Amino acid sequence: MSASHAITADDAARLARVAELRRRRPVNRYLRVSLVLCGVLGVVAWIAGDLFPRFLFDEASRRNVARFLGELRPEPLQGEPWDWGVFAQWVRETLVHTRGLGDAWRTFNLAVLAIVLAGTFAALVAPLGARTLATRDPLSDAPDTAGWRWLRRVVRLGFVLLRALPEYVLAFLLMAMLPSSAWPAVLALAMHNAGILGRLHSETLENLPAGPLRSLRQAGATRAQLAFAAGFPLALGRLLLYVFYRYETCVREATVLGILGIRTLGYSIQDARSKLYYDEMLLLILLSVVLVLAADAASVFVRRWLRRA
Amino acid sequence: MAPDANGARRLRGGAPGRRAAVLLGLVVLALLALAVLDTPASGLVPSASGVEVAKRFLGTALRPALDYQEAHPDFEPFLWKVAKGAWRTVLLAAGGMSLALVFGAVLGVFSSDAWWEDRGGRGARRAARGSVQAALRLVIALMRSVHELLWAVLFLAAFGLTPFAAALAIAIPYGGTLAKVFAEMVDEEPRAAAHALRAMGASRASEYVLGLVPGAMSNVIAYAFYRFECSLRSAAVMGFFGIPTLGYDLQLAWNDLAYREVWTYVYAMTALVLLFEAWSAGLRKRFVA
Amino acid sequence: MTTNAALLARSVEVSFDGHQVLRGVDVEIASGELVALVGPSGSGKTTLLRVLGGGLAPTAGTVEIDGTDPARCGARGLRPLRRRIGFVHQQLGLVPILRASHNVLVGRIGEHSLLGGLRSVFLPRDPEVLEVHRLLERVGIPEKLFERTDTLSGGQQQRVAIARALYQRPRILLADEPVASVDPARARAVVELLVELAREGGLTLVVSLHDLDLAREFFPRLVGLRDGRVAFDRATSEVDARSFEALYAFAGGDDLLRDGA
Repeated sequence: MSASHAITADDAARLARVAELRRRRPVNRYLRVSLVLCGVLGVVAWIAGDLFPRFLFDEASRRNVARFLGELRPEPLQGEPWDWGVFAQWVRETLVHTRGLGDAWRTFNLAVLAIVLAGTFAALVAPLGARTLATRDPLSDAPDTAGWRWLRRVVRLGFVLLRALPEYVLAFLLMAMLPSSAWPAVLALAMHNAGILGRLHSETLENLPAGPLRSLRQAGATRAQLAFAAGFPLALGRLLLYVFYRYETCVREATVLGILGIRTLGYSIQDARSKLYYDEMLLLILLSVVLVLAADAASVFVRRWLRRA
Repeated sequence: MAPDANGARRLRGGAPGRRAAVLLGLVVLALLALAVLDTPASGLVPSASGVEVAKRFLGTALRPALDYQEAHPDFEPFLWKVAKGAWRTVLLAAGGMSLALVFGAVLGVFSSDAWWEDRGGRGARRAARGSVQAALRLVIALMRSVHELLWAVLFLAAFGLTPFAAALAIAIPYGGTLAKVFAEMVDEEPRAAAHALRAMGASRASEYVLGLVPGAMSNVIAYAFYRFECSLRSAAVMGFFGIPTLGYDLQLAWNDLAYREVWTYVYAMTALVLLFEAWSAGLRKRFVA
Repeated sequence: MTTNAALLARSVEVSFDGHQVLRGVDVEIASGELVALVGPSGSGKTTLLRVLGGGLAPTAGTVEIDGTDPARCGARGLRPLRRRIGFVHQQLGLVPILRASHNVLVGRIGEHSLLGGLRSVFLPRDPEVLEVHRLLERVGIPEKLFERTDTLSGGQQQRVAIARALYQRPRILLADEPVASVDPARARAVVELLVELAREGGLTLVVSLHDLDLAREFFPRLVGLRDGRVAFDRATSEVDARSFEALYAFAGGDDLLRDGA
């Protein structure tokens, strides 16, 4: 209480009542603890993780950064005045000799193949993780048997494990086991996304309106018919939305998998970097930006087209 | 078919045709991709050496190492090393996310429609404001569309192998994504409270922060947690570029053919992700209605 | 051209997208007066309140609040003017996730910068907390001080909104259909509370009401609106049943289309 403010007896009593109310107020302890922990983690990260860019204050590194920035300028234009004609000529030649456009095309295709495989896997396996279908008596509230419960748990855990490992690590491991081709990258992307789509699709199946499915069941449909002849078409709209939602991410990931040595855009970017051709590296990164933005626009367009129906 | 087929078709929505068309299109594109890409059927069958590696690697899946496979007196205890790798992964992810949250909050506010709407003014001013917002959205799209590993390639070339370069590489694309999602969340908030604050004479900033942000906060926090989970994966992968996180240890163990150690790192990474996933799932359950 | 009116509207017209909602309204309300705006929904009550509160600029005509025309103050001058007016909105405009105390403390947001405002809401000083508690006691829900606002009932939320408007220390209190979403028994209590509070504080009170009986019981002066025009404006004792019938005659059809305009 500030000195300038005289406390009357009424104020004191009221403050006591307020303090009592404050003690009894509902508190979301989980949230509080989480936020405090995150704050602490953030501070510790900067102190213990040695994140402060101290090197920026040191002369040699600053010169390094300046030199790097200078080398981002297209090679024929370094030290020259800017000329759009020369620039266009350089872009054309670079895209030809780094085969950047071909790599971009392959990146696009790799993402398509991976997401289609992931979606197929999700469509086939997700019913086994859905509470309403993978149960002793589908769509009824009858008590479940332990066997079915365990099956669902295992399927769900499988989805979690699939998406727990980053695509990059999966591809790294697969490359050592499979002969050199695009498959390690395709499979790594497909596996990670299968985990994500599988979980989302089984949730969609669980949340389907029970009425029509139940009457199909009463009419004698088998479990498989329920899942694929009725459930799949009903949940397809959602699944497609998710597929296109993930597609953009797939293109980004497919790009960087090239760093491991598979021919996508990342491969030529890494190649340019190792040769210290920073100008070419920047151009190829910008090409990947165009590719991702195009994929993003396409997936937004298709999602909207599907939803408008 | 069954009697209720019509009901089912109705529930499916109006355009099974569009869905079928998209499905067919995807299949055709996938087949085309099979032709374009270097994907022979033989690529799915491990080569002789690959079989050997796979056998040895997969054979040790259930026996992750608890100590070095080839012990050396100078080494620190193996599990201590794993724990340190995991801790460094968390630290890098947290550092990247702390920067990303700043980028996301600032860009999110100034790129949202809610910040710019109802400002009145004449044509020129309105156009100027519109172009500022459009420019910010473009910046966000650029930040998002370059993968964190490509940012890392750039920054490692510029700054060398420093934790700051790695954290910045995570922070930029994550910051862009957070900004986009935050702006969408705030824009979806009902405006009643903000308008009431405006009627009391609140400044635009107060109106935004106290009238709109609190309502969006539960979604914002839940989403930030989800991204934190993702940033753990990204931080682990940064190890492949020499930043000492779990990915770095994993790569070295792999190159040493110490497969049981590799599994330890794989399980450590998985456990870390699952731990944070459980944490953020708990938060969503208790916090977001 | 100075008047001692607290609120003044002169030939005010308002249209939204070509649809005319107010068609030349003249009203003068003296300081400390208690006035009810009555009329069928769609007659322009809400719009007139918003114009009088400086929240909406009229398409034509002038408004004066305590002798100041909000159209001439610019964005900066508007804020101190708005601070003088407490407004209880029909949708209340509370922040659901915050506690009741926060929502009341927000009432003085107009006096602060962003940081000062955050401080005053989330780290209130003892005198501020005491005042909030006193106000909540006055509106009858002191025990809800630290409850989350979205866990309160509709009637309790409305009381929080009234407390917020009072915490603002306004000279003028405007309330838009304060009983629209409250059951009849509680409606009477809410209107009674508003009138009492206005009398205690010497505030000018303008309330838009759908319920004629309440308006007649509590307000000495009634302004009847119909189709964007003032149908009558006199002391309650002089308003007869015929005026009311005229007010509501044939208004049924338009109601559905223009509700809340």
